[in-house]
Amino acid sequence: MNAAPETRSDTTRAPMIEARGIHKYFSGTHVLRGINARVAHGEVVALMGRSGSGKSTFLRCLNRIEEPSEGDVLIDGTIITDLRTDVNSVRADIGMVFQDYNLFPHMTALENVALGLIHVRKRPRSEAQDLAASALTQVGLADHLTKYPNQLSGGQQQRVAIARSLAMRPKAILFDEPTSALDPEMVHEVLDVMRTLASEGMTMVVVSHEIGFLRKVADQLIMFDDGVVIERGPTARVLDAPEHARTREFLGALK
Amino acid sequence: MTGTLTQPRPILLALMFFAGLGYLLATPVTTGVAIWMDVAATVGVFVLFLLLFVPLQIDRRAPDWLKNLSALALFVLLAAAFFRWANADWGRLGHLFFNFEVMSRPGVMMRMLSGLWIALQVFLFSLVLATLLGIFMAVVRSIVNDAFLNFFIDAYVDVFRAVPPIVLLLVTYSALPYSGIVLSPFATGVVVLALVEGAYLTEVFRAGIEAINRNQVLSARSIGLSAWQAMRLVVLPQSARIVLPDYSNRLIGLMKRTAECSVIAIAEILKVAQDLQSQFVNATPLIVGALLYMAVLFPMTRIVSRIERSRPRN
Repeated sequence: MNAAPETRSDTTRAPMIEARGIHKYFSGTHVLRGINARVAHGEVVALMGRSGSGKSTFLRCLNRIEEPSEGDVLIDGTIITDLRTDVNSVRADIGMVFQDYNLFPHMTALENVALGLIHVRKRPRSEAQDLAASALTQVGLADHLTKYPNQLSGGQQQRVAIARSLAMRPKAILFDEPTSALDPEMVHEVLDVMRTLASEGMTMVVVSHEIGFLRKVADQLIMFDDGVVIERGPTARVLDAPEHARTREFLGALK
Repeated sequence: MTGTLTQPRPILLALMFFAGLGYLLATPVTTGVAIWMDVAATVGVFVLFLLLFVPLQIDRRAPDWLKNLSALALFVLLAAAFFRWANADWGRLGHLFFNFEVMSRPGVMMRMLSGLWIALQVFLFSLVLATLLGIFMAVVRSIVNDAFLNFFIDAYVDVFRAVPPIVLLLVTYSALPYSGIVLSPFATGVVVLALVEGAYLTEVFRAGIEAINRNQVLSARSIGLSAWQAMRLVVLPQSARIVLPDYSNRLIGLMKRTAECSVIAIAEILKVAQDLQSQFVNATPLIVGALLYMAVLFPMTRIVSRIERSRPRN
């Protein structure tokens, strides 16, 4: 069931991200019930499921923005769910893009992107700004460096958020429903950037319901339901021939 | 006939004002039966004045300066009526409260000004201490968020908000020396005011921190910033704008509360004024003291209401 035959990823190395038996309790409710997952270097993995199924919580456990109650997360073979781990340096190596962008409203696009480089990567300010500018250029925002978030459209803000992750030269980027807060006409500009990243070999874990996009980009699709994984496999296989009744139900509702 | 009463007539109003003022100030108060005519005339002055005054005030085309000037005229008339009818010894009142001969005696004005300087020092020192204290408590409460620590911070806030500062000043000033700690009155005043104000500011800053969306912190942490860095670089700069109006209102209150330090013999404005009052058996220094407070506070309140109008809409 775990076989992913047609991926362009490198499966000979240790996985880039590995989750072993992740459990999460929120004041009594059992939100995640033993999730395992492997994301190979350069692989794009999609997480799908109804709201409340645990997919976003699982995603947040991968960089410990949410602490797993049980289980281990390994990044590049190293356990990060461990008291001795410097969680800040782990997070610096794994980008995260949120549904509602979460840019810092009191900073320009350039300052948003440069912040982590200056204060986490400890780069000199001028160098950080050069790197930030090139990251923003990469997502097509070279003309908007000095604008504040409220002067940018939703799609532009989300691309700044992607640049903010990108500038840190991350090993992987986690996307938490990156397009679901966007107006329809802005969705494609964000998806285009993500598609380019994937083609350049970035390891990505994406919570998204953009079927067309996932079909083209995601190597593996993991279906969540009620805190467990009910189905997983190559994206096209799961989308075209779902094995689990709940998967069929969910995909049917999306169309 | 319509509109004759509602039309503004500024020139007539001005004539009415001078006629009324002349009557109220120039003629002596009559006694006996004629007093009823005198009362009727006084009432008449106001009725006629208001008949001309109201239409001008409600007329939308009338310029603001004219409205303000006529309002001032009404106040002058009221003052004149009070002066005419109040059975007071105006000369003695003036001698006791508005005696500029007392203020011009050598050293008096210097002492008042040094009182102002001391009051400003108490204000500035306690403001800086209270601000640091408030930010520190609010930040610790937000980041460390430890039940044990929170209990102490909350207890501090509750206690110091529940005791009048003047009581705290007296208690500290009289009790502290017995514990072996000897502080000057000035230091005692600064510490007490800073502790009281720090309690309020803790709440002000806490509200400012909590007003920032939790996702801002998540987002900051996700790029690898530590909790302190996220607070300093992301949360506090945004809180500052939200907190500014409340903060500056507290600032005005603190400046007024420096007057309470007079009870522990800090030679600030009120203390100096009271000393001078008993020395010369004359209350003019108190009036001058009030004016000194106004000189400091009036610009402050104007600036604060400016800031309040620019409060960010969240």
